[in-house]
Amino acid sequence: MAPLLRVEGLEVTYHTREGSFKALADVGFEVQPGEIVGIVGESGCGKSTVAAALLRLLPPNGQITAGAIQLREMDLLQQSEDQLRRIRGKDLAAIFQDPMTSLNPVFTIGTQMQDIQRAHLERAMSGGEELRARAQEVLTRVGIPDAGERMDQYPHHFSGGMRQRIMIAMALLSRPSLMIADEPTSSLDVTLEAQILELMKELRRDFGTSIVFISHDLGVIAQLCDRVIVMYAGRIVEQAPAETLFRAARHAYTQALLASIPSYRRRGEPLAAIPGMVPSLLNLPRGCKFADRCSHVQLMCRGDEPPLVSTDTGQVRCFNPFPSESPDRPATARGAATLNWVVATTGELRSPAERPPVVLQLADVSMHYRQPHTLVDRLLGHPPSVVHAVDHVSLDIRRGEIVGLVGESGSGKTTLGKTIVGLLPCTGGRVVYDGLDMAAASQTELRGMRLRVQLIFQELYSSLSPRLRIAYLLREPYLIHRLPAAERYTVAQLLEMVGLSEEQADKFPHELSGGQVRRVGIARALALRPEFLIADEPTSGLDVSVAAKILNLMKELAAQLGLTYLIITHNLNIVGYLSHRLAVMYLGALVEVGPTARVFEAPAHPYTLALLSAIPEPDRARQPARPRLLLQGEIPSPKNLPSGCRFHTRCPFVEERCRVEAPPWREIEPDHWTACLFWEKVRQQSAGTAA
Amino acid sequence: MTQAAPAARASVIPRPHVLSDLARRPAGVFGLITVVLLALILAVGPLLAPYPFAKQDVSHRNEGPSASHVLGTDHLGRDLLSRLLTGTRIALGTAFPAVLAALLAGLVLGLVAGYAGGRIDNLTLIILDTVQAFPTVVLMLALLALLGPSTRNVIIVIALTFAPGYARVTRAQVLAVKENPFIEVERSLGASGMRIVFVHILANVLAPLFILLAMDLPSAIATEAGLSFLGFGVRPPTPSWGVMLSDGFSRIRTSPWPVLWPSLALMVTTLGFTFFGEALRDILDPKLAGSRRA
Amino acid sequence: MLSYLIKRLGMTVVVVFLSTLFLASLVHFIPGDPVRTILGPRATPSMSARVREEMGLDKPIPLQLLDFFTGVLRGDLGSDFLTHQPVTRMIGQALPHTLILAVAGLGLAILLGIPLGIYSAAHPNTWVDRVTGIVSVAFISLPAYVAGLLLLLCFAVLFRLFPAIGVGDRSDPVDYLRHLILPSAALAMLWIGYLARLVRASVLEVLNANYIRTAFAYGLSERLVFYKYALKNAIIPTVAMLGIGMGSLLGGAIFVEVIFTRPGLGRLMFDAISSRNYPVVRGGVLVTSLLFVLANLLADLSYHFLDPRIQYQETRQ
Repeated sequence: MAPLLRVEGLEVTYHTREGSFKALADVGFEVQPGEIVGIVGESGCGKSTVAAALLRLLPPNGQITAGAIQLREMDLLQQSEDQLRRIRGKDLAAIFQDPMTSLNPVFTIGTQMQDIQRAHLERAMSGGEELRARAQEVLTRVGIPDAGERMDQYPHHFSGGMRQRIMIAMALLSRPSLMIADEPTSSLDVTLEAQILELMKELRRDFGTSIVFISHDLGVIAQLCDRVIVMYAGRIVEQAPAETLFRAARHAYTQALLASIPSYRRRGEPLAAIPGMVPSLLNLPRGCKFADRCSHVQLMCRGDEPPLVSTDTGQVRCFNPFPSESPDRPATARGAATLNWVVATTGELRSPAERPPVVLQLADVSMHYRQPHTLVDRLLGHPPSVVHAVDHVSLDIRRGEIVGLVGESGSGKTTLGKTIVGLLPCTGGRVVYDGLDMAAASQTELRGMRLRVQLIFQELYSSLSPRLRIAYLLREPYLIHRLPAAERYTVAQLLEMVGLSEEQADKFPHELSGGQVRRVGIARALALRPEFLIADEPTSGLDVSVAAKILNLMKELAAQLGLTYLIITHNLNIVGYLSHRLAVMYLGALVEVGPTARVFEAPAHPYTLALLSAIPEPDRARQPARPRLLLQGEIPSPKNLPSGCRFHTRCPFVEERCRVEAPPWREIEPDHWTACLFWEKVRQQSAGTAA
Repeated sequence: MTQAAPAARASVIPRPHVLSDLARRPAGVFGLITVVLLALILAVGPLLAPYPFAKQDVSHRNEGPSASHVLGTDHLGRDLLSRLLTGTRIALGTAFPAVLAALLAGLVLGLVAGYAGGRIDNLTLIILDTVQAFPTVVLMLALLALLGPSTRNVIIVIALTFAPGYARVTRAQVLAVKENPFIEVERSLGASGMRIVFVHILANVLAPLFILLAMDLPSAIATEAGLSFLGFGVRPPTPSWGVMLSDGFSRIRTSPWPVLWPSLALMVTTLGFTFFGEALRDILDPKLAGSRRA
Repeated sequence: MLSYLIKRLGMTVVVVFLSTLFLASLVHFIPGDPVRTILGPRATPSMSARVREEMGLDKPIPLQLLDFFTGVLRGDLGSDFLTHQPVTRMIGQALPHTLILAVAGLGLAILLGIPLGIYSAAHPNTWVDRVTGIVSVAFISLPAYVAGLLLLLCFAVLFRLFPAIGVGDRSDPVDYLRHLILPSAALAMLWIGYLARLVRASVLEVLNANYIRTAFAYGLSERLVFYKYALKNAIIPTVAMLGIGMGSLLGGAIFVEVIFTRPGLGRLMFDAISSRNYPVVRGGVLVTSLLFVLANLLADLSYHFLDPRIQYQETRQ
């Protein structure tokens, strides 16, 4: 069968002030009709450039300097701008990463869709009515309710997930044969992401659309794609069918990437950390670009660059690839309840008497804030609105534990973290640290608390004052608290603790890489020698391999310093990998709390089950068919909490009771709590489809 | 998705590469040259003047450019070049203190309002709105009508009318910086309000203000000249460019030169400072610049 | 939208009230005897006494302010010191000329400045763009009086193309226009340059936005993307600036009316300041600021009207 898309020897050069460099070199692949091909790589690998090149929409300083792109019989590189215009949006459609800024804010959805339709009119017959009808049909197909009315609304009336669907709808308007999706789900919550991925599978099934799916997330690629292309430093390093790639990757980079993804199944194993950093494209080494970081490197790798060689299932760019099957690769023990590393005190679940003391006690903590209610609002009869960011959360954390707090956006987890350290006021309940009630504490006592509990913020560069040097930033906590020299770490010591070299001390934040900035954030938090660290999204904004190093660092620090951790994240893989216990939040309240092993293997709340089944999991072949639970709809606004059980609007197990009664918080097994009346049904579902 | 490092920004104190960056832009070079030239004239100008600015020479009135009077003479036979050079001093000597005073006043007001928020902020906004409800020139004239025209009063009046602008810019910057996560990070480390304002907020607010200063100078110079032109500013015979224009205007049909030279001087000064300020802005704080893609 | 409208109108009323208060009490902020401040050093005792009585400066300050406010609401702005004409009538006669001048100036600025900016943004880095750039920059350096003087010099004195003085025959529109061209051009120049640069920068910035990339990716033509998708977004900040522009134009009108010897509010104020005719000055400033506030209100409202993001108060996010 003739391929739909064929790319050969593609080379793209960018011209910048610092010089010209090749963003893509020798890129070639094919896409068959109805196939979903994934392109995966970390930042700077060139995957987005591939998308731009395919669309012929490179920025002004970029040029396609070699190669061919063929869409069916058409040579895309030979087409005039006018001809290309006709192809874009018709045979070739694209959706991009950021749905919030990808739609024109000053025109309605309907207008934008009509403009697209008119641009591709084949016959002059279509009047406004027909165009609207077609647009409505497509919007409904992608899951926008009340499409007819909502078409006349502006983009800001829709949430991120909805906007992404609208973009897909726009792409579908002309039944394209090929869709290019550049990181379409990266900015979406995990349950929404699952919905979009499901939608894309339907599109392929119903319309035969081929998809080129670009992402940095190996798990997502594994879920969706038939074939996978791995890129590094502007080159393709490996191509293979998804099943083969994830089972037996041939290239060292792919292997290393796969080994650096944390997951529940990897508990107890250290994560692979690829040494070094991605080379700058302005200054690539001779020979294989991955040689400096490769575990398999040999002398010839630094001579000539290895060509792309065919294997029986795909291609690999390596002189010394891994063997195609390795039957003796150790299978990870599933679901070990214990962890193999040494933490200060806790190991497995011990009896109540043997357990370490509680250091942090959250007793019915709430954080409600009132939206400003002005005179005008009163005059117009608007009721005052209260946002229930955190609602009656009760949780105990013991010394030495690593607890994961999991939730999607709008769950209130970050708010809870900030409330614990006192950045936000606790409007209800109590936060008690080591016996000290924060609300009743004096200023001195609170200051003392700062020395014991610290928060690592989720923002990367914007969490460091941009015009101050790293050395000052590391010393500042001591200046603030006026600690005597004996109680201070030196700047050199702090840098060493987080794995940074001394020369970083003189730099400004913007001169550091993402991973380095995160380390500085950790170092600052450690400066005051806390015993309890709250880490808010410790790996957000970081590439997979960099994230792995940060997680390794956190594990080491926990062991060395005897820290207690509360890890706040939306990424279940991290908590599955690192934490002893797990707490799941939805719309400000806890819905399930329990030992990680139990929660992963036998979840007791529908939301938890949905989250678990939405984790994009690269271990496709090894993992048994997962219990799938796809949530419909989106998270309601925290200003307007649903009645009864707050999850009932999206719950597949919902019954009348759920709409009326708020479910009680029940301990169903030792240390395992849930807020669902029908947890047994959830258990059944999760166990039922498991092999 | 991974974040790229923000565009490199220099610290407030320009590092060596600022000059080389400046050199790369022709407009910036023009601006720099103009500014340097003006600074020189400011320093040694009156010494370069061939004649004392008030010296009248009735036998050489309303002449065009000649060997003895490079730019010509005015209706009283005074040398235009000398008056022009002296005028530079007046122009910068009134504009600079005025804008500086406006900056300081606005800075304090903006810092307080922006950081304190709440009622203090609202009150400040109301005050700013009230003062800014008048077109600048009109307000200045009203004040000068009451204070009486003089150089000192011009400085005061310009400072008073420009200050709200600085206050607003400072306040907006403070609000923007306040929202930044790193402020919260500092609070979580236990930093006091004072430390946050004076170490963190100020460092991030000053750069845009200095850029604004560079770009406001020409405006102040033009304003002073305008007021003097109307007769409400610097008093003759002090050769403010505005006074020269006024003299030239009443005799415009007799000789174009007394009007031409001060006009050109004003234009060049305005352009020079504007370019300089913009180049500075592009280098120090690229975010403010808007698109430079094309 | 409604709550925003109410808020905005309320604010405007408050600002007008406070600024009037400020103006009325301005005399008292200056140290010394208010009468001396008003009349200056050459006041004779009899003049001072007369002024004190006419302006009610012997009454307690709050009462003075009250009198002034009630007067304003009645339309009474006091009387001219010299001729004893009601200030309101004098302003009423002068205002139309200034308004016409200001509107002409603004119109010229918009009609020339904005298309210039759009054109250079549509052809970036071509020689057209560079020439336009130089011209706009040159215009920026021309405040109203410099432009006025140079235009006068060039077109009225040297080349004698246009009249230099007065408004011309009011019953003859062509003549009126001839007399209007130079003054309004002088007013507009600064803003032509400024608008051209602003619009150019605004459009280029919008062209960098993600949604423009999307539009191209869906095959929309360059014309459509530029003139519909980009322009509507880029125009919004420009509209906001026009309110401020009005203020600058009203201020500039003073210079232009003096230079071109035209009757108008600016000229009136100029003469009044020169002759220390305080009630006229005060009245003129009041009316000018009222116009300015109104212009700003209009600009603000149209800005919010154009940008649908702001209209929608209760978003789902």
